[in-house]
Amino acid sequence: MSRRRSETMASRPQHQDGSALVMALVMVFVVGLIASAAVSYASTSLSASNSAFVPARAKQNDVDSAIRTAVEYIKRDAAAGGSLGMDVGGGCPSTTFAYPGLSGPVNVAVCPQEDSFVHSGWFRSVLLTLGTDPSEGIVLSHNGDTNVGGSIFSNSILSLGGPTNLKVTGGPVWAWGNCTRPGNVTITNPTSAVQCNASASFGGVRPKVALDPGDPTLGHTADWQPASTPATMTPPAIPPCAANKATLSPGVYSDPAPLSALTTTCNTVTLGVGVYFLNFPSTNTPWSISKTVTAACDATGQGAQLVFANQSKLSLTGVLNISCGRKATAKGPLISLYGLKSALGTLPAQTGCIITVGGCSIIDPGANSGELNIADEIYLPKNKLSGTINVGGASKVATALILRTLNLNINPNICVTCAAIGNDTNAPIAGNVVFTASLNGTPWADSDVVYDPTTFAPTIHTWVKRF
Amino acid sequence: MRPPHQPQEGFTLVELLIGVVINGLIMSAIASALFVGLRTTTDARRNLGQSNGEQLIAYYFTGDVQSACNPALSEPACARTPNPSTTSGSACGTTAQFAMDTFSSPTASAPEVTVGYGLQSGVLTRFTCAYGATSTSSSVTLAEKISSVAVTYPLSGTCAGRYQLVVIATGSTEGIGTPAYTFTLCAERRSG
Repeated sequence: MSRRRSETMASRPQHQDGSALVMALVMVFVVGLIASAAVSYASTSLSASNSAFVPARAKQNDVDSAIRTAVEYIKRDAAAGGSLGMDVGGGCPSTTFAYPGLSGPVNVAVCPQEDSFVHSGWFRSVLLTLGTDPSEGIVLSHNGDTNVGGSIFSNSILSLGGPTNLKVTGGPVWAWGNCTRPGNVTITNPTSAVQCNASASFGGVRPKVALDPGDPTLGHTADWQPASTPATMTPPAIPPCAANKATLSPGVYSDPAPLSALTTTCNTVTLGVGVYFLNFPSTNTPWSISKTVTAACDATGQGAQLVFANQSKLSLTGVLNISCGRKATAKGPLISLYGLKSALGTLPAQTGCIITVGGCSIIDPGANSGELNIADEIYLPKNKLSGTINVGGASKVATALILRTLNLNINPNICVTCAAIGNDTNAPIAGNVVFTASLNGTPWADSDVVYDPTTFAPTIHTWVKRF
Repeated sequence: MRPPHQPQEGFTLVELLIGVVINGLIMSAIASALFVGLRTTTDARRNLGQSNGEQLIAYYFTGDVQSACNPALSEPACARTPNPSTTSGSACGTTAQFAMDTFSSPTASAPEVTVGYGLQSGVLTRFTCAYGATSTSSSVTLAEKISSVAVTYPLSGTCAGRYQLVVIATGSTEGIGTPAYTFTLCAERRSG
């Protein structure tokens, strides 16, 4: 039996040995390959996904940090976020801030917007004369100090007679043309020197700061309109003077005679809050004020606005006090005296003391030197203001004075150190800066940041992702 | 003469039994391996899908909230309160679980782009349109098999003082099976 078995085994064909095991091994191998492929697929997908997401997150963090840091940088150095570059027509950005991010260097372009950190709010220049003839410009003739808080720009000359010591705080002084007696100009905080013949500095192109702020190219046209339009052309009744007091109502006044009769006899005439449209037919018969005309402020901080239409003119030998002007828009400037450049409905545009060269003064203080105390702005872009103007107490001629030309002797009665034009303090208004962060040259995010005018605390108004 | 001896082929019974047993063991191991492999692939794919969805949501949601306008600021104007919204409503002419108004330029005086997140049939979609428009201008699918999304503004917890997004992905019994998956994102509006 054992011999037969050994013979049988010995004679079995070798190719049939272990065939099932080989098959099993092949199948195990195939299954292993499939499993490996599946795991590899999952691993690769996760890796690919992470490799795209994680760097993007790192870049976003870098850009975020870069803008945050740049915002703090400007907070500590407000001058770098000033408006000078934009307002004088300079390029943007004014500066760049580099941040070494983990995913690469981030450059933040710092672009101050118009009116950013401007000394006196809307007024890039608190004293601006728009006339370009060599006989126009700023002529000051007070024998002593004339203080101005804010920037000054003359599109023509700057002449200081008297001699006038022009003391300016918080803003540069430009004269497109020549200066006379420039040595009497002192500019502090920051200290600088008057820039005469500035046309060369600006390459012969007038910067934004030299333009009428109501110029449509500046984008603020609506803010520089009259505060309202006439509801009716029928003039309000002239009130009687009772106990030497009377109160006028806003509206359209086409006859200066009854107004003059009141304000030359009644000691105190109050202007009720609102807009007074002066539609006088001739400059030969101005509204004469020899007593005191006063306008107060209402609860919203607005008061009276005198709109000069047609050939309207003031003869001021008394006192005109306007504590609050009125504004056309929520963001617009408060304007107390307004020159109407174009018709407003049936109310004709100003045609009276509009000067080309020479011409009459829109306010004639006469030989008795009227007193003008305007807490807000005088916007008479086509007019001249000349003569001797007194300023009462701690008052001022205006917070901003925008005219065609100025030839004035500003005579401060009491306060000889406070600003006759502009602000006494140098606190700038809110800064407005746009930051654009670029990573390896590609913009990633923009942010518009507004800084508090006193604390410089930043507030991010917009944040725009570019990714 | 006797014929030459023919070798006998074939297996003995014992050999066959051993072979059958070994083969059975191998086949069961292979089947088990295949079964486990297939189940693992299904779960892996579902988990991968959830992971990708979470990343996409994080990518878009964070940036959108950062760009959202602040209704507390008077300028630029921002009418939607709160922004992002914390309740469902209409945005871009369609139903959104939540939406927000954002900017596309830094000096804009009003929002320019509305972004909405919609959930329909378990698919979470992000869509955009021009501010005030009633039709979408772009749409992208962020995740599938989502059962709910919700935005809140918690005053305590991990996301205190920021916008919190909670997304719940549906569970599944396919493969090994996974329970419902919840993930939370915090995002901060840059404009305060």
